[in-house]
Amino acid sequence: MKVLLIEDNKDIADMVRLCLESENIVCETTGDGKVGLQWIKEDKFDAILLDLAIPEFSGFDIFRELKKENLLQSNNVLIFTASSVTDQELKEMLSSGAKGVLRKPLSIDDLIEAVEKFHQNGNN
Amino acid sequence: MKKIISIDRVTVLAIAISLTTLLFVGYLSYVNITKFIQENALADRTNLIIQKVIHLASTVSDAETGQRGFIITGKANYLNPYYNAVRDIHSQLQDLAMFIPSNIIKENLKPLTNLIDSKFNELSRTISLRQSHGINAVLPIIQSDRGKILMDKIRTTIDNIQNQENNSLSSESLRLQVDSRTIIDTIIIAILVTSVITGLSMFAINRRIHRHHLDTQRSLQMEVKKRTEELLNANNQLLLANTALVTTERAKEEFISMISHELKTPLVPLKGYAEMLLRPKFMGGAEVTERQKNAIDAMNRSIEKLQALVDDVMDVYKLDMGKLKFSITDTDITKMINEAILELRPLTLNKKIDLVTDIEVNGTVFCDPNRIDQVLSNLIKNSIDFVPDNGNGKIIVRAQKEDYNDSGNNTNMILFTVEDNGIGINPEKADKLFQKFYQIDTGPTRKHAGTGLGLVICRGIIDAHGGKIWVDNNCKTGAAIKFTLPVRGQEDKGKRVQTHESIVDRR
Repeated sequence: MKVLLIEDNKDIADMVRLCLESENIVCETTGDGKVGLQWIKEDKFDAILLDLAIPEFSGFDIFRELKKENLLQSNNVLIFTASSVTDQELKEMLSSGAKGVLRKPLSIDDLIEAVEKFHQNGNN
Repeated sequence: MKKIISIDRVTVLAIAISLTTLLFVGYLSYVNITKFIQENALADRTNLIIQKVIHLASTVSDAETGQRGFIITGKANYLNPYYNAVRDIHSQLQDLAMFIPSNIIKENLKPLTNLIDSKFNELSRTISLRQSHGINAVLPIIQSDRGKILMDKIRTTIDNIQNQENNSLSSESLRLQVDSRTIIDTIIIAILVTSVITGLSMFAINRRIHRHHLDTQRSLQMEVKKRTEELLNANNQLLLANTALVTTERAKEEFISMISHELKTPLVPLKGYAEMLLRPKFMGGAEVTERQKNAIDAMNRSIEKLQALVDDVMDVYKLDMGKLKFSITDTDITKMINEAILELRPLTLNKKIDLVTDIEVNGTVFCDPNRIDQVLSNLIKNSIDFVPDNGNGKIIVRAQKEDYNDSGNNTNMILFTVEDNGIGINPEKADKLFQKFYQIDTGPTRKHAGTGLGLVICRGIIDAHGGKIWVDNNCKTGAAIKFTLPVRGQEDKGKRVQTHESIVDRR
């Protein structure tokens, strides 16, 4: 199973990657939004963890692009965020096609549970 | 104002002239009419005089006829006209004298009277003679023309009188006519002059009013221009102030956002790794020792507390800055209370605490459900900390319609109570309870730890909703904290209640 993490904080990124790898899940990470978007288009991931608060090309921008190009249905995008996103916006994103929300600070159990869900439903 | 006074002067002058002319015209008309009346009277009088004079002539003639008849016939009845004339003549003369002006009397009437007297003398003599001596005695006298001459003179005099009267009437008439024509011309001229003057004054007044109106207009326009300039200036200043304010507010929000992010970011890997240390898959299948597990558990607890503290501090900070946002809707009371209870039930079951609800109202309150859940949780957790854990502990969450005197509110409010049978709250310390960092007991023997911020945040949230939160001093055993929430939206009270998106996360 392969997961994409788009997150700019190195410590958080390392932690998530180590966590997933211990569960035998491959995790590719990038802190660059545009790069991440490109990887989504080029590659196939079982789940995408999208941090909204990345600089320059933000998670919001990526989400908008995916929505525009109708890539939300075929990809399992999990919104990964701290508190500064409004309830309303989260609801909108979920109804637009995001498949879940993971709050920071992360609960490892929640993370694994969310990702595993797509492992079962997705390919294989 | 000066201009209006001068208008009045001109107006008054014009009106005065017009009135004067009219009065003058009136007067002239009156004079004219008087003259006509005069002339009529004059004509009447002349006619009367002429009538009387003619009557006089005929009376004398009648007398003569009577005399002639008698002289010729000798019959007494022929003398009747003569006797009648004799009888009337003097009264007629007197009557005539009354109507004729004195100068003509002198000239004509007196001689006429004399002539008539003479004539009548002559007639009387001749008649007597005929009576006494017969016709032959009288004929020579008659043939002597004396009678005829007298008669002629009388007729001439009478004609004179007539002519004189007519003449004087005509000349008088002419004079009056000339006067009248003059008067009529004067009247016409006066009317024309009045019309012209009135017209001119109307024109002058109109022009002045118009000019005054223009002046007023002009000064109004200048006033408007000045005001507009002032308004534009004020507007510009307001825009600048607003921009500055918005910038400040945005700066505040960005700062808060940044702090929030910076505080929470290090917690992510901290918490993550702490949890992962307890997961066998991460530890490569190796079991942790008990000592290690205790250490890791302690770490986890610490991290949780730190997280809670960060959340609380951020809430307090946002409340202080007025930047805590709410998402207000009509929230079902029962559902909200039950959800709060549900979260905490594991904790109460653990400590054998009886956690029950007593909901006396149906319906909704107007609030942010997440934040009120936060309040309820906070209050319940406090109660959990202070009730006995020997199985006797009891916590009740109530919801009722509010009595009027409880919080002094005017609108419909729902009263929530969280009460317990714990150690209670010292009434002296009750009002300090909602202050920052106040804790019931501090110091080394602290049994009940907490951030001390929970109740502060509760107060901030309840206040922002337009409600009130307080310690109920009527509680005999244990503690009771009450708060109110509005049933429906309060339009004027919700200063800090912003009904758009909420910053929800507090976990």
